[in-house]
Amino acid sequence: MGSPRWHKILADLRVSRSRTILVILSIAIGVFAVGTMLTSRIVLQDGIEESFDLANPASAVLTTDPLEQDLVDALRALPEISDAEARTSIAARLQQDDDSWRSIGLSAIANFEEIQIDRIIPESGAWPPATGELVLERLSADDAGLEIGDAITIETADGSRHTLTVTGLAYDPGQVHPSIGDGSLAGYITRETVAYLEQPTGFNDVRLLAAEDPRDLRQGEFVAALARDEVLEPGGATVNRIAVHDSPRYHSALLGDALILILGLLGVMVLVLGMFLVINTITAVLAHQARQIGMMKAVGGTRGQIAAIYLLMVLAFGLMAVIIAVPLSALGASAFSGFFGNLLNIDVSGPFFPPSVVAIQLAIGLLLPLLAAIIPVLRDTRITVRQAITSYGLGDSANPEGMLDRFLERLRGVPRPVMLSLRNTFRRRGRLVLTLSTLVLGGAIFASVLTINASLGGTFDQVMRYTSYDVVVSLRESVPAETAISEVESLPGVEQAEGWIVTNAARLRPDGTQNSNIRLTAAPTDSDRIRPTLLEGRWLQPGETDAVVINVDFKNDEGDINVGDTIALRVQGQDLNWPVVGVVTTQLMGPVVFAPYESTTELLGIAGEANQIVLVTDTHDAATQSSVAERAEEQMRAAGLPVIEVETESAMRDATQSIFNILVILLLVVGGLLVVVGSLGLTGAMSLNVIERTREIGVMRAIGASNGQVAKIVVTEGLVVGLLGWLLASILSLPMSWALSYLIGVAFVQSPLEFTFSIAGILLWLIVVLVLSVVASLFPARNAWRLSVREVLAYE
Amino acid sequence: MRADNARPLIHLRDVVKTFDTAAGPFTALDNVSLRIDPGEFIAVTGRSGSGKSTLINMLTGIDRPTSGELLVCGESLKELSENQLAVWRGRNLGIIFQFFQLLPTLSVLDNVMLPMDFAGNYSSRERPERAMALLDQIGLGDHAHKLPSGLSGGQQQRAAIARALANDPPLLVADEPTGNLDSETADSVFRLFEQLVDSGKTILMVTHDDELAKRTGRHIVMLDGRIVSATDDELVTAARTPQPEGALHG
Repeated sequence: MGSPRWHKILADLRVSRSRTILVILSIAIGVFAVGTMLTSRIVLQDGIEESFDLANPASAVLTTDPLEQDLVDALRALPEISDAEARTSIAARLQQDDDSWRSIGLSAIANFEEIQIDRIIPESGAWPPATGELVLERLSADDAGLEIGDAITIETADGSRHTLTVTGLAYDPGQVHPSIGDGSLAGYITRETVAYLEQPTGFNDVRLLAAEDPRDLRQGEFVAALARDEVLEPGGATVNRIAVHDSPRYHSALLGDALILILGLLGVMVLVLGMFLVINTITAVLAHQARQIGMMKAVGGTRGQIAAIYLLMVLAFGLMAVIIAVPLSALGASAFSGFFGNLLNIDVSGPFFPPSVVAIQLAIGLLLPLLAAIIPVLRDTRITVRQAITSYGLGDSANPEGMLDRFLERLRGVPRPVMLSLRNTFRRRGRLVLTLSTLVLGGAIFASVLTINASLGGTFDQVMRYTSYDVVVSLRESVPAETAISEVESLPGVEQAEGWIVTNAARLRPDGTQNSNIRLTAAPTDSDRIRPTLLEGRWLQPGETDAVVINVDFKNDEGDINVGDTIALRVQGQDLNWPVVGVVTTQLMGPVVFAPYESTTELLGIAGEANQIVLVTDTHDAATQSSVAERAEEQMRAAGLPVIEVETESAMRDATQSIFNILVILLLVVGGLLVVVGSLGLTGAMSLNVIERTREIGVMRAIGASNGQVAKIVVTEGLVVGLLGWLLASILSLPMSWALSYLIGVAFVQSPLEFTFSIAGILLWLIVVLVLSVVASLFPARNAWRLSVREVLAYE
Repeated sequence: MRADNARPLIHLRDVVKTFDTAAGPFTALDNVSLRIDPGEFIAVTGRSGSGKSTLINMLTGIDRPTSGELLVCGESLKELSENQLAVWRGRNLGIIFQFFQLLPTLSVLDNVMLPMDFAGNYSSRERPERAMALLDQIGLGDHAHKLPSGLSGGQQQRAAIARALANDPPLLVADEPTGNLDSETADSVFRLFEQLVDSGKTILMVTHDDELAKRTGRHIVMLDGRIVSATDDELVTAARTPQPEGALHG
């Protein structure tokens, strides 16, 4: 037989079942959220790390004009480079069932059995594929709905079409799901198939592994510059682009970090909300049991012994919450990391019960509620026996001479029951503060989540506003702009055409190293097709020749560039020095420098040429854009122009949107979770408010109040508290959502999100508050009026 | 009944208790002196507001005097902290309330075991045995595992008496123990008190029932915060007029 103190704890938990469930759920949701996020973080990081190990990723990838094996061997001979491999990469299009075309990157590998850099692991079917056959990356096959045995039509840049058969599937850890990458599919072929596709068979994709610290960004930049300057260019090869840490794998790792940050933050907030509910509940329990506390003291219970009873009760809440939350968070982490593992193309295998996370869950599930409860418990168990047996409870802190009371005194024409509700609301200030804290925090977090959502939308629009063209045609090399423009400007639906230069650039740092990841965009200075949002300085002025603007990714990557500084860039073999006059927001495509078209083409010796033609159509819908894109491509190919790719604004919008969608979906899931916790908090706070006043309800009925009148008083009070909480939450949500948008923006897009306050969020919360205030007040009130007056007055 | 040479169980000298109220200071006990020896059975009567409850609050350490000396079960209660008072109560006295005040979520047996649990008296194996024995003694053995709400008023008061006896204290203080019971049940509770006094307990009982008060060994009447005492009706009636000083019955 156990101790009566234990029996009391268990009986109190059992008797107030709905309150027990409410508190356990609140703690459990917080512990679940934190556990799911921390476990997912570990599992995803392990998965990403494993995928890196499996892939052995290149330190740098150089895109070149076709070259032969001897240069690759020369690279291998450099002591700074531990290994070098080359592939033939072909940008092509694949015809889908509905006759639309989809980009596919084909990698031709010389020896499938001996890939050492950016390894590809065969999963099923043929390995290596025979001539005329193709092995598809597993997620590409999944995304395009292709299976082994399917025959596909491939169109290469020169417009020629060939049929390839899918004969195998492979896992390329360097790829991510096409929906979060650039939308392009990935396939692997032999060099014989390159010949079959009538493409140049020379290597154009050189992958290097630095001998020292191969995953270090600076080492990658160093060996890439070394390879270009010491071997490739002296050997007669042209290096078109250098990519260091510019694979989808690296990008997705950043996306994963942003997601984990958001969810971690919100998990902590859910937990804080749960703690408020614990404080609220334990305060109500103590107030409700004031007489019992007095009785226990009367029969010899010390304050310590009695406090221990209530702290053990809180510990029991925590224990039950942990028992529920720990296995559920393993399931949650499995589902969450499985979903993102699929997007990031990593095989997640656990551990789903990492001891460190379980320890944290135990700590926050058991200790945080105890910490939250310790002050109310110590405060309220101080009650003396006399106070307990002569008062109706704790916390009667009404000051009849308070300003608020004087204000209420002066109110005229307010019906007495409503006046009673108002007075009740403000009678127990301490209690009101606790109830409001829960409501305000819940509401503010909820509104903040919807504001982040709206701000993400705003940021997305900002990214999309950056350029205002409908179709962009990319050419393999620059051609006289007027020739290209004349081919397309007279096409039906085309309103305007403009020639740009978009090319790779390297920043020559003062210490002699290079950042080769930069994209240079040179548009006419008077172009109104490009409208980035300025963060610092100014945009290029019409006619300006000696100035550049960089984006925030460039500024953050380099860290030492400010407006007014002059930067040295190497573009197509030319070293150029330009003063930076402005910094603009990100375009979600890494570091970009914007230079004046006129002076850039002149300095590069290609005056009047362009390798990108941007088109503006008369109407901007997806159908018009597609048909113009199709006709422009046909026309330019027919004219012998080297078209590589034609993209429409709506297709680019969809690709960018899908990345934002992942965040939005996650935010909505978290928002839903918050509504549940917030509602639990609200319901709990309201019900406890009414339960505490059961005796008072009995008195009102004893002096003639009908059930309806009691309901009116109680519901009015609930609504007053709810509305007050909503108002304060709306105010708090402004700074809170601004801070969250800032943090998430910096993590996700390197600059604060375009802050867009969600009015819908606070209105939605108002509805939730109104409904729950009524429901949560009415049910306990109904229970109270079902008791007889005698029972209520003896209510304990 | 009183042995003059024995150490008193309760000794009050010039105890004053003043409350600050909205209408100004209110003296609930006005220079009260009282001596109670072991084995006495005392009834305290008086009108509402006469100071009865304040008196027993002083004796049980529930409240503290504004001035005066207060010695109960050998302890000067003025010196003790709230916590020390709780421990002292657990070991030295049992309190019986008008509304029983059993913990509603605990069984009758648990309610009786609770003071032993708090005081750390008896081994954990002995506690249920002792609690059962006490319940058997007061005729509630069959109801030990029921919740208080499953018992009648008289049964609940008996359970409260068993709880008061849990740590075998020398002193029982009962605040209108029969006030909520019908006359038959009240009588049976009173008889239980008589048995307890016969077994050596000291009982101080506040009551409104003059008939019951007359059956105790000593009857104290309170009026306007002072003690007057009587053993028969005339004296009680006479005492309802203001008296110069609370006299001790002895």
